[in-house]
Amino acid sequence: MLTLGIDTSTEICALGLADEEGILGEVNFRLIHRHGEELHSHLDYLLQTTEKRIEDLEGLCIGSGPGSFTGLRIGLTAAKTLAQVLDLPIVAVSSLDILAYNLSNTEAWLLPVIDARRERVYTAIYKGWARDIESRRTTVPRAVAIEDLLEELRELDPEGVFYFTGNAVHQYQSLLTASELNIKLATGDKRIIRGGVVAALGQYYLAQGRRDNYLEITPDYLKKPQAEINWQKIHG
Amino acid sequence: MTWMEPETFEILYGGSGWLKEEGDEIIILAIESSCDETSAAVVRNGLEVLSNVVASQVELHKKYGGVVPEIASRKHLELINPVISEALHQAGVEFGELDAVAATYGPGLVGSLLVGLTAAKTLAYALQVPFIGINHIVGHIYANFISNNEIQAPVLCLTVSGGHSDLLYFEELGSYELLGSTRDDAAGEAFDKIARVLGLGYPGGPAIERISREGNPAAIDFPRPFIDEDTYDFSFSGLKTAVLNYLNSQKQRKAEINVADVAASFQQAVIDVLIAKVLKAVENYPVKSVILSGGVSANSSLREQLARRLEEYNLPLYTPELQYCTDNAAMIGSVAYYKYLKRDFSPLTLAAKANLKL
Repeated sequence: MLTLGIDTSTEICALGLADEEGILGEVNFRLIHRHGEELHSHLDYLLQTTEKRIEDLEGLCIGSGPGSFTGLRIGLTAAKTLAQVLDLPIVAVSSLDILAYNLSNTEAWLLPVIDARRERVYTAIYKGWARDIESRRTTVPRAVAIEDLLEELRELDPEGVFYFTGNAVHQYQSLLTASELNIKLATGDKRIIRGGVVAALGQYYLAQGRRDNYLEITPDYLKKPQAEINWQKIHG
Repeated sequence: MTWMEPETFEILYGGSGWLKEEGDEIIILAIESSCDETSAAVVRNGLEVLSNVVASQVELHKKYGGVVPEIASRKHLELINPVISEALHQAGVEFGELDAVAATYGPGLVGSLLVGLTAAKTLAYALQVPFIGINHIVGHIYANFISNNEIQAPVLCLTVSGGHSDLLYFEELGSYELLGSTRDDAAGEAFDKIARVLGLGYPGGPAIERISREGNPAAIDFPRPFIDEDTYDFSFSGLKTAVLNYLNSQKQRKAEINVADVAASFQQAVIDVLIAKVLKAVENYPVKSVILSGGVSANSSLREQLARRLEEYNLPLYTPELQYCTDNAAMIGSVAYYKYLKRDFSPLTLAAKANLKL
C-alpha cells in the first residue's frame, strides 16, 4: 500500500512515502514557522522524485502530536483534506510513537520527549520496542515537568535502562546526564521525527486493517487553550 | 520548475486551452477562515453563488468577551472539512468539477488563516487546478457585486469600517485602483472613540447615530480635515482631537455640554468629508455606479445624504446585502473569479499574512 506520511508536530516538516518494501523517499526539513509555506512543495518534490503521482497514493498516515499547536493544525488540515478529496484510508499515529519507533530492537524503557515549554515535556513511557510500537506504551501521552518525570522513573524501575529521544533531549541534556538513573540519550539523528518512519508506520497499521475516520481525527493537544484555563480559574 | 509555480499553468496548459476563458463556465471553491467564521462557498462565474456555508463560532467566544485565537483555530480545524463537504453538496458540485480553489490569506488571525489556507492549497494540489490566495478586504468590496448584479463599471467604492477607510476606483470589475485612504484613524474608529468619551457605549457607530437624531448637526463647527485639499486621502484624528478639545474647554468654563449636539456635529463632519471625497472622484473619473461598504455604511444619515448628492449626478448608490456584510467565502470566490480570468494565480508557498493591506 503506497502510503504518504506527514508529521508537523515539531520543528521538522516531515513527509515520507513507503510501501510493503519499505521507505521510497522522505523530505525532512527543520523549519521555524514555515511548515505551511513549504509542505506542498515538499510533497510535490517527493512525488516527482519517486516518480509517483498523487492519484497513486493508497493510504495516509498523520502524526497527531503532541507538539506545536499551529504546526499540528497545518499537518492535520493537509492530511484530512487529502483523505477527503482523494477518498483515501487514513490512520493517525501519536508523534511520540513515531519518535519511540526510532529506537528499534531494544527491551529498555523508551522515553520520547517533545518540548511542551515552561520546563515541561510531552511524553509517554514505552517498555521496549516493537513494530506495533503503540502496544508498548505503558502510559497515556501527557505533559509533565521534567523533574517529575525523572522522579516517576526512579520509582518505576531504579535499575532500569531509559532511552531518551526527541527534541527536548538537547534542552535538558545536562539535567538528564546528571541524574543517577541509567539514562542513555539517543543520537541526534534519532531525535527527529522522520517522514519515512511516519509513512512506514502508517503502511504497517493500514496493512493490519486499521482505519481512522478522517472527520474524527484531532490533534493530541494535551493542553487546553490558556484562555479556557484562566476562565475556569475565575469561574470554577 | 515544479508544478505549483503559477506560470506553469500557462506553459503547460494555457496554450492548449486547458484553462478556461471568460464566457466559459468557471466554478470556484472558496474558503474563508480569517477570524471566527469557518466558511466555504461554490461560486460560478464570479457572481452566481451556488452555495455559501458559514459556520459561526460567535457563541463559543462570547464568555471570553472577544475572539480567542487558539480556540478559534481549534474550531476551524474541526469544521473545515465538513463545511467544504456541505458547500459542495448544497451546490450540487463534485470535487472534479472545480476549476480553481481559493482562500483568504490575510488579514486576520494567523492560526485561523492557516487552516483554511492549508485546506485550499491541498485541494488545489490534489485536484491539479490553480490555487488563488485572496485579500479578505478585497473580498468585502466584491461582496457588493454579488449583492447587486446590475452594478455597471466603472465603479467608485467607498469602504468605511472600524479597520479601514478607503476610496477605490474600478475601471472594470476585475481591477481596482486605490485612490485614497485614511492617513490616521479609520472612520469607524473615530466613531468608537467619540462614543466612548461621550459615554455612549460600544459599538460607537449605532450609538452616535441614535443620539444624533435629537441633536443639531450645525451646533458646533468642527473641522473637516482635508476636505478642500487636492487628495483623496482622509484624516480623522484631527477631528477627534477637536471634539476632545471642545469637551475640555466646555468643562473648564463649566459650560453645559449637549451630548446630542456634539454627536450630531461630529457625525456631520465625518459625513461631509466622506461625501466630498466621493464627489471629487465622481467629477474626475467616468463613474457609472457608486458603492458604499464596510460597517459605517450602516449609518443611515451617511447613506441618505450620499444618495441625495449622487442623484445630482444621476448616479445610483449600492450597498451590500446583510448576509454578505459579515465574513463569508462567497465574496472570496467572487474575487477569485476575476483573478482566474487574469491568470493571477498564487504559488502553494503563499504565507498567511496577519497584517495584509489593500
